[in-house]
Amino acid sequence: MEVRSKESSGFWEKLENIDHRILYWILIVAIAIPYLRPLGIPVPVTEPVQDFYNTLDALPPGSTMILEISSGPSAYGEIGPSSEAVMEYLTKIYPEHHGGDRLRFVILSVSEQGPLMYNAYAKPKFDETGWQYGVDYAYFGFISGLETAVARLAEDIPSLLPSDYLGNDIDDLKAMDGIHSYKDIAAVMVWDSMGATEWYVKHWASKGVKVGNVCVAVSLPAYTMYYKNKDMYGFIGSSRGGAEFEYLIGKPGDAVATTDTLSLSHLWVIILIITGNIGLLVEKYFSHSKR
Amino acid sequence: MSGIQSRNIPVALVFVCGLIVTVAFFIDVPMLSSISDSLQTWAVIVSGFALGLGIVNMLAIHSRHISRKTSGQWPFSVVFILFFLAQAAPGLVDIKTLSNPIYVWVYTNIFSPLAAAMYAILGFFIVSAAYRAMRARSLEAAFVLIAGIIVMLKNAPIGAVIWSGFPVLGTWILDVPSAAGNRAVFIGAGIGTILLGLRVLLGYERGYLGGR
Repeated sequence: MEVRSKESSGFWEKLENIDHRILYWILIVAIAIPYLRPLGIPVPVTEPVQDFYNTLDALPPGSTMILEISSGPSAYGEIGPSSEAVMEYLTKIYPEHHGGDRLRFVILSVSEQGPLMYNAYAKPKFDETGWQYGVDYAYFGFISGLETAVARLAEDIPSLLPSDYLGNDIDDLKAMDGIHSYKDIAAVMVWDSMGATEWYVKHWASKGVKVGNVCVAVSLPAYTMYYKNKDMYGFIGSSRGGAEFEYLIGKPGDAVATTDTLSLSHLWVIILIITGNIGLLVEKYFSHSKR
Repeated sequence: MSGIQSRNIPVALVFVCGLIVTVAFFIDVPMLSSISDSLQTWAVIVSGFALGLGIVNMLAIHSRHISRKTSGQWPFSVVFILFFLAQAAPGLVDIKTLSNPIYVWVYTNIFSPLAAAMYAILGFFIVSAAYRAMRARSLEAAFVLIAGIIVMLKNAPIGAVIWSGFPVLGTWILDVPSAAGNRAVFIGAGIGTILLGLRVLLGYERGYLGGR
């Protein structure tokens, strides 16, 4: 009996001291498998994503949205596919649902990473679908000042954005016709990996403007709170939310492709937590027996 | 002007500006609102200059390291300045659209993969932490761990395949206990911010002036 106990203890001790690299390699394999052979695990659409979609689809054609791009390449793996799906919806599917009529966009970035993300993911989609710069959308580049800038924008957009990123006067941009303050904006959408949504919730949603976002998973608990409180109309959280949105618009893409990876990697982390804790219990049991 | 007197001027400026913006937020007085609006616009402009100041400061610090040949530091300072110039110079050529091919190439092929890799490394840290650190050494820790596992299974589609109750339970955890905890944190942070604001306005908090 004592021999078996020693053996058990030795097994857990070995497991306890397992080389990190083995754990990492298993993670890499777990991430790689779904890319080689997709598992096709279903992704049910959750309420925040459904509300996000419904709200956008219900916006009257011709109304103006603010698209705030405050994410950088580090978060691209999480929110990039979602952002691309949203652009697909806004530039192609929304007009299809509304007899060819479009929304208008005022695009800006309170993150210095924003302009390059705009160039990489938003502008190509506008170009591809024949949207006209200055008429259908206008871009204002990086705006410094963080929360102060967001607060000021709500009250007086032209004072902070007198010209676009190309230097065109705001009065020469048809997309900016009649845009003076939050009262002229139908909704705000933030591509967020730095917390800018919170500023829009404080200074725009509090005045009745609809605010939603595409965000990284770590922010979900905070945005769930705002969503439950009706401060946000919805959100697309991480690649999982992106996959839901891709299913909603009927165009499964990169986000759907990553959900199997998400499943297997999460499962591996959970297995490790459980194994580690069983090891802890065994260790406690043996140290108690020795006493 | 003595040091104490010269410090009183910015404190007085902060008091007056802070008071105007605060009062204008709560009370609708057209003249105050107009001044408050201007002050906020100034703040946005000043913050733009602060970015420039940051660049100058970084360059000055690293140049000093190079000129003094600070042990263990100066080679990194050389690398910093070289890469800074290599990225900034092409960007300045087409500063409006940031579409200079060299600038875009460096950003797309060097900066973006490095930034993404830094973020991706978190996955490996989590795997290591999951095994070695996430231990239920107390009842409270056990609760946190179980809640964490349930929320993970809610977020990962495989959770619903294992048991259909995971998404329901995970959503409840996020909607009720997590939201309650978040609200408490936000309210606490809000009260803390008000107190800090008051201390700054009244001149008790002078950290923003530099030194103690």
